[in-house]
Amino acid sequence: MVFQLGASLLDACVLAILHQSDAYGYKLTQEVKKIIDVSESTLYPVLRRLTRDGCLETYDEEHMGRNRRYYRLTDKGKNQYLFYVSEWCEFRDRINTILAEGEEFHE
Amino acid sequence: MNKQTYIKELQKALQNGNEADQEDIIRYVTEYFEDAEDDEQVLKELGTPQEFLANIQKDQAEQIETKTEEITEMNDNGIQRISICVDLGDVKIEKGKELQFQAIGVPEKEYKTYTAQNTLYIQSTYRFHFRISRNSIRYLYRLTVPENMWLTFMEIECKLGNVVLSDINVKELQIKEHLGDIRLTRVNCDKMKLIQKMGEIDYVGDHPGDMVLKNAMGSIDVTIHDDETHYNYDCSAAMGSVKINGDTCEGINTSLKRTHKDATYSIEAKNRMGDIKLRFQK
Repeated sequence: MVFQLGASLLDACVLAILHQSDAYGYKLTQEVKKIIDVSESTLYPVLRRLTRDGCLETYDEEHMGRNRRYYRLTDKGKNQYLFYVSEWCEFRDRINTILAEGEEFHE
Repeated sequence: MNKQTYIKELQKALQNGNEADQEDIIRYVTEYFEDAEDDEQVLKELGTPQEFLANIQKDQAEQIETKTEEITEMNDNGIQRISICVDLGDVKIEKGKELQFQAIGVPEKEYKTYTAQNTLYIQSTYRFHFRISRNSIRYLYRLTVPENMWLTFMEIECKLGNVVLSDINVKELQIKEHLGDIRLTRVNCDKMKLIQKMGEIDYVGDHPGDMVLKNAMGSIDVTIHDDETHYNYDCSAAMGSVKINGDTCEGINTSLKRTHKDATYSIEAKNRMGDIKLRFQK
């Protein structure tokens, strides 16, 4: 993809994935990778920041004899997610007004 | 390098640095290795321990600049008036569960908020200058106001950026905008004054009250879901057209004026360069 991914869009994607279900670090990275090309080293800071901001919280769950750390959305995280959704819709519509006109050439 | 040496090196690098939650980082990386079950692939993805840490530090440094702030439970302080004066950035005020303020992407030192005499103030604290960096491309000052809150007064001055208001009830509203758009949706007032130097003025709603709209350059577009006979209006454009429902007049120094005997409100719109559209739709 030629379009650059900003920090807020990455935050939004992480929140969106966790809005569907809780996930642990590796799983979450795989989910994000399905959508966008991101290296693992860039995702940890995102999780850590969102946790510090109170958007995410962690809990441990036993898995094969060890504890696995899961991330889940807090109420604040849910609000932030909804905020990103509304901002994204507005952004998408604005870009669409100019870019989507060229779609016919693509088809 | 394998999993063990990677983690060891990471631990060493963390000790040298001044990292607050070393344990958390080590735990994350350890679990990541375990869940991935493909050490070589993980080593490739993570980058060197130094790179991994550099990424965290870089992200932290950026965060210090873009702290968001929230003010909650402001109702208790009896806020009735809001005064916003910002140089650069969008101002967005919308309906929310509680009165809450967020500065998104704005460095902390560049604005302040305080309350005095039933008024909430949000202000830029630096003199106007262009500061375009990765983070300042879009500053956003966002305020949510509960639906049942009837504010008596709101003033907004914005030099560069859009002012967007939706679902707000306020008795008196004044907006002064230099460069950017003013967009009001379902904003109910007794009285509003919108002054714009360059950009668009858009209003869609049921109850704007008395309106004074001035634009030096750009369009004025007003849709009111009410009966035309409730309003007296006087719209003039120095250069541009004036359209009111079906009536149009074009040329230089054009104006359309009408009075109704049952009118309770008045609309005065002036545009130096640009069109004026006024629609009444039930």
